Amino acid sequence: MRAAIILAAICLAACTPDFEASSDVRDLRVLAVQAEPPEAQFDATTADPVDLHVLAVDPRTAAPITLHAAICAPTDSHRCDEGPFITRDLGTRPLSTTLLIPPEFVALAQADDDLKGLGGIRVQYSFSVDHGDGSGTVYGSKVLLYSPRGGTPNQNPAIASVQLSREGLKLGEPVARGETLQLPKNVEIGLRPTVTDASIESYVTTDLRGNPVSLKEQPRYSFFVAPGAEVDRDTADEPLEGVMAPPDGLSRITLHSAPGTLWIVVRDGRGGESWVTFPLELTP
Amino acid sequence: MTVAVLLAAQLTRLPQLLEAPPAAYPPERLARGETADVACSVDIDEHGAVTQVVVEQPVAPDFDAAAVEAIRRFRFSPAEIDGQPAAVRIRYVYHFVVEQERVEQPRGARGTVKGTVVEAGTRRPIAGAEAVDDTGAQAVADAQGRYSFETSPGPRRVTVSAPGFDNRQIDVVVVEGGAVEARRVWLHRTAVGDLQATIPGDKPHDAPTRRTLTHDELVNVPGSLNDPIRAVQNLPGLARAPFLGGALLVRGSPPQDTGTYLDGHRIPQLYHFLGGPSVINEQLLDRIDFYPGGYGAVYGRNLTGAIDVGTRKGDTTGFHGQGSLDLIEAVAFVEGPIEPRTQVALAARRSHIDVFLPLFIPNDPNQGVTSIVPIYWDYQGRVDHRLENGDELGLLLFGSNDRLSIVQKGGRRTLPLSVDSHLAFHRFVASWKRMVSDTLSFSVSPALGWTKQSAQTQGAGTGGFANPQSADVTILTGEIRSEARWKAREYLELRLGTDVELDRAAYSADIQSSLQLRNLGIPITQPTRFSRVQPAQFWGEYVEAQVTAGSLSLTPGLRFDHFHWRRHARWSIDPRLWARYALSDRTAIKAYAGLYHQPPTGQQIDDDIGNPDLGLAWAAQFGAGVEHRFSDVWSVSAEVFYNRRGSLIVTVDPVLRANGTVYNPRFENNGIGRAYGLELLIRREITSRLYGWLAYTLSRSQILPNRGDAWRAFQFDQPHILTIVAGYRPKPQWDLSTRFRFVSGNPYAPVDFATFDADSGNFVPTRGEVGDSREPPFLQLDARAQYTWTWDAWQLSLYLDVQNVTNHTNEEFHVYDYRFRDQGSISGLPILPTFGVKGKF
Repeated sequence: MRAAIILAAICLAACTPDFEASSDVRDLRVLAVQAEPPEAQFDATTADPVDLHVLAVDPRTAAPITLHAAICAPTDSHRCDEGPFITRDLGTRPLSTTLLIPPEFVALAQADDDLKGLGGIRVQYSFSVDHGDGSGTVYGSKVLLYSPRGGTPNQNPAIASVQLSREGLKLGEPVARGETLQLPKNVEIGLRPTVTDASIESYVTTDLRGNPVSLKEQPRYSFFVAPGAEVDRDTADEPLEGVMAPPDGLSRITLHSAPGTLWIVVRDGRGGESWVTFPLELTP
Repeated sequence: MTVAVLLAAQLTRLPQLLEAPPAAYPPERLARGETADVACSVDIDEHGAVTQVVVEQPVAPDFDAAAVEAIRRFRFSPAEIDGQPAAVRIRYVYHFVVEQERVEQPRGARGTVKGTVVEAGTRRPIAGAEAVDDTGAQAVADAQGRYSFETSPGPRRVTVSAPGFDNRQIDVVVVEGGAVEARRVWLHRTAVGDLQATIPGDKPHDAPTRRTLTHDELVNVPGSLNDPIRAVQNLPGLARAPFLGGALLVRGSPPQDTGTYLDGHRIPQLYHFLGGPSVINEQLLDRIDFYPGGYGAVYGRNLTGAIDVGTRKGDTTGFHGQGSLDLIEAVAFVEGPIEPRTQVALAARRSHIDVFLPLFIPNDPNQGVTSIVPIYWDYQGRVDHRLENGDELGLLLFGSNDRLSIVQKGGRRTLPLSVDSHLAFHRFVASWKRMVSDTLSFSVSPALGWTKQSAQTQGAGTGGFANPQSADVTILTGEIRSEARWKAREYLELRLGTDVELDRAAYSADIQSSLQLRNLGIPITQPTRFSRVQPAQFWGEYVEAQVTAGSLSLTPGLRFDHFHWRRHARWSIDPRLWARYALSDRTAIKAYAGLYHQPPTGQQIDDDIGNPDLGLAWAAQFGAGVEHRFSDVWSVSAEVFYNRRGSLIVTVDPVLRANGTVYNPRFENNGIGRAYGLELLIRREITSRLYGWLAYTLSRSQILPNRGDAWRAFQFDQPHILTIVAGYRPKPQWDLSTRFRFVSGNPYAPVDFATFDADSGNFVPTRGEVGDSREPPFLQLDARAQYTWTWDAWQLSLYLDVQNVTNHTNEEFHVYDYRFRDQGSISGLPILPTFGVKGKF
C-alpha cells in the first residue's frame, strides 16, 4: 500500500498523454484579442469606441481569415447563444475593427449582471474565425469592459523588448519589437521579455466583502511558435518584485528550420493584452 | 444492512476447556486399535456448561456417540462477549487415540510430574492438552497450560498431545515423594482452526446495519497489504476511491459525512497521507464496526455512516510481540501482563521511504535539484487493569504524524519551489467501567486531544500564489463519553449516554488571497494575514431502549445535540428506530428509520472566509432487509435503503443587494441529495480452511446543488459494486486468498465544446452534467499468498501480495489537451507485486 501511493504519484506525473503543446501553432489559431482601450468609458449618451484587434494565424496557408461576431451579455459558454434579447449579431468583421457600442446596450448588459456592473460593466464580444469554408472554425470571446466616465481606466501592457540568452549568459542586446531574430540551428536560446515601465499598474477594486482594495498587476506571458521551432514553456509570469528571473530566461526556444515565427503575448489580468511578433531566421 | 452471519457483539474471551473426562472408547474399536477424529459443533452456555453437541462430520456411529457423550460432560470457562459471560458455539474435534493401560501403584510410592504445554510460535498455553506417561497416569492442562499428575517413581516418558496439534514426548525422572518440573513442551499445529468461535443469536443493542470484521478477517484479505482497516472497503455500501486512496465514500456521500472513531472517540484521519497505511497498528486491532447508515443514537454529528475501530487489551498469558521491516517502514508491537490483573500493549511505526526515494527521483540541473521527503510515524499504548471489585480501568495513548516536504532548488529554467505540509494528532483516552449488578453497568471515557495541521509553500502556484504562504491550525479537544445500561426487565433494556466534545481551534494564516470580487482572466492576489481562536462545543445526549417481545425486537432511540460556535447556537433532535423480527432461528427481517444532523466545518463558519450563519445539514435514512443463515458458516443478508439529505452546504456566487452593497456568503445550506439502493452480502465464516464473502451494491446517488439546478450524479456515484473475497488454508502454514472487484466507472461531465477566452488566454469548456458520461468499469483481480515458519518460540511469515494480477488497465479520469479537442485518460496502477516479512513471538 505504501509503495503503491509513491508509485501512483510518480505515475501521475509521468503517465499523462502526450498532448500537443499550446505553444505549437500548426493550424488556425486565435492567440490573443486586444481591445484598445481595454477599459472604455461611457455615460448616458455615449460610449467610447473600442478598437479590436484579433491575432488569428494559420501557418499552413495564406488564405484570408473570415471573422463572424456578435455581442451580448456575458454567458457561461462565452458564446452569444443565450438571451437573444440582448444579443446583437455583428455579421462578418475584419480582424481589426472599431466597435461603437450604444450606451443603451451597455445598460442592458448591466441590468443582466447579478452584480450590476460592479468592477465594470461587461459586454461579451463573441466571434468565430475560419477560412470562409466553415471547417476548422475556432470560437473565441473577449470581454469589453465599460466604466463610468472619470477615474483611471486600465491600459494595455506592452512588451518593450526581449533579451536572448544562451546557457545562462546574455546574448547580445535586447531585441526590439518587429526585428527579425537570427538563431543558431538546434540550439536552445533563452527568452526574457520585458514590459514597459508603465505596464504594471496599481489599481483599486472591490474585494470579496464589497470593500475597496488596492492591488498591483502581475503580467503573464504566453509563447507561440510556428512549425520549425519549439519552446519549452507555454506561459510564464513576470517574476515578483525582488525575485530574480532564471538566468536562462522565462522560456527557451529552439529553431530547427527557417523561416519561422515567434509570438509573445502579454496579459495584465484585467483585460489588457498585447503582443509582439518576431520573424525567425537561422544564423548564417 | 445487518451484520451478515450474525457475528454479533465483540467476543472478548474465548471459552477455555477446564475439565475433559475421557470418552468411553468403543470396545471393539479399542481391541482393533482403531482411532478416529470426530468433529463436533458444541454449544456452551454462559456458565461454561455444554448444552448441545452436534456431530459435523460423522465417522462411525459408535465413535460419534462416544464423542458426543464425552463432550457433554466437558466443562469450560465461560466465553465473554463485551466483557460479559455469554453463550457461544465452538467447533471441537474429539480424537480417539489408543492409550497405555493403567498400572496401579502401591500407595506411598508416588511422585509428581508438573509441566506446561504451549503452542509453538505463539507461546500461548494450550488448555485441554493431555499429558500421559507410560504407566497411564495422566492430566489435562488448565487455562494456563499447566498440568500435574502423580505417578510411580523412576524414569517416565510423558506424551503430550492436543486436538489439532502434533504429539511430543519428554523424559523425566520421578522422585518418590517429590515433584519434578518437566521442561516446557511446544506443540505445533497440524490442523487449521480446530477451536474456533462463531457466535449465533441476536445482536444485543446495536444497529442492524452494523458490519463487523474480526482480526483474522482483517489481516488476510488480499489487496489490503496487511492493512486491516482497508479490508472494510470490501463490504457493501462503500464506493471505490480513485487509485488506491483510502477515502470512505459511504452510500454515495462524500468522506466528510462519515465519522471515524477509535474506541468510540473521533479521530481526524484513518490513513497516513489519506491513502497510506492506517494510523493504528494491526496487531492492536480487535474489530472494526462499520455502519453504512441507520446506526443508533450512540453516534451523532454524521450525516451518513460511521466506522469505529476497536482496540484490544494486551495478552494476559505472557509477553508477545511482532516486528516487521520492508523498504517503506519499520513496525514493532509488544504486549503482555505486568501483573495478574494488568495488561499492556505497545505499538510503533516509522517510515523510512525518505531514505530510498531519492534513488527514484531524477535530478536535472536544468530543472533544479529536487527532494521529496515523506515521513510518517504513529504510536499506540494501552494499559488495562481490573480492580478487585471487578471495575475495569483503561488508558489508551495514541498519535500519528505525517510530514511531506518537497524542495526544488531553482535550476537554470525554474524558480525555487518548496512545499511543507504537516498533520499530527495525539489522543489520551481513559475509561472506567463498572458492573453495579447483573442488570446495571456504567462506563465513562474522557479523552484529551491535540491536533495540528500546517502548510508552508513558496513557488507553488502561478502569479501571486508563488509568494511564500503559510497556514496552520491547532485544535485542542476535550471529550467525554458516558453511558449507563440497565436491564430493567427481561424484555426491556435501557441505555442512556452523553457524548460531549469541546474544541478550541487556533488558526493563523499568511497567504496570498485572490481578493477581487470579480476577475477578468488571471486572478491577482494580495497578502492576507489573520489569526484567531474559534471555540466550538458539541453536546450530545441520547437514550435508547431495546424492547423484546418474543421474536420481535424494537429499538427506539432519541438523540439530542446542541452546537455552539462563537455567537451562534444550533440544536437538533434525532429520533431513530430499528426493528428486527426473527421469522425462525435462521431467518430475520429488519427495518430502520432515523434522522441525522451534521454541523458545518470550521472553515465553513469562519467570519472572513466562510458563513458563520450556516445551519445544520440533515439526512433522513430508511432501510429494510432480511438475513438468513444457511448453516453455521454460510449466511446471506440483503438490504434496501433510501437516504434523503437536505440543507447541504454548497458554494454560492455573490449578489448585489438593492442598497448597492455586496452579499457574498460563499456558502449556503442550499443543497439537496438523495441516495438509494440494494446491498447484498453472502458470507462464509472464517473457519478451518475456507472463508470469504460476496458483496454487491446496486445504488444511485444524486445531488441538487442549488434551487433551480437539475439533479446530477454525485462525483463517486457507482451504480454497481461487486467484490468477491475468498481465502483458503490448505495447511496451517499456508494462507492463500484472492479478491475480485467490478465497479461502475465514475461519472463525469463530458465536454460539449470549448471557446477561447482571450482575457485568460485559455480555452473554456462547456460541459454537460456530471453523469452524462461514465468512465469504463473498473475490473481488478488481486491475490495473496503467505507462508509461516514456526519454531518453538517464534514465527516468521513471508507474504507476497499482487494487486491487479491481470494487469488490467483501469481508467480513473479523463484529461484533455489545451483546447479540449483531444482527450486521453489517466489510468490506475498496473500490476503491483509487493512482499513483506514479519516475525512474531
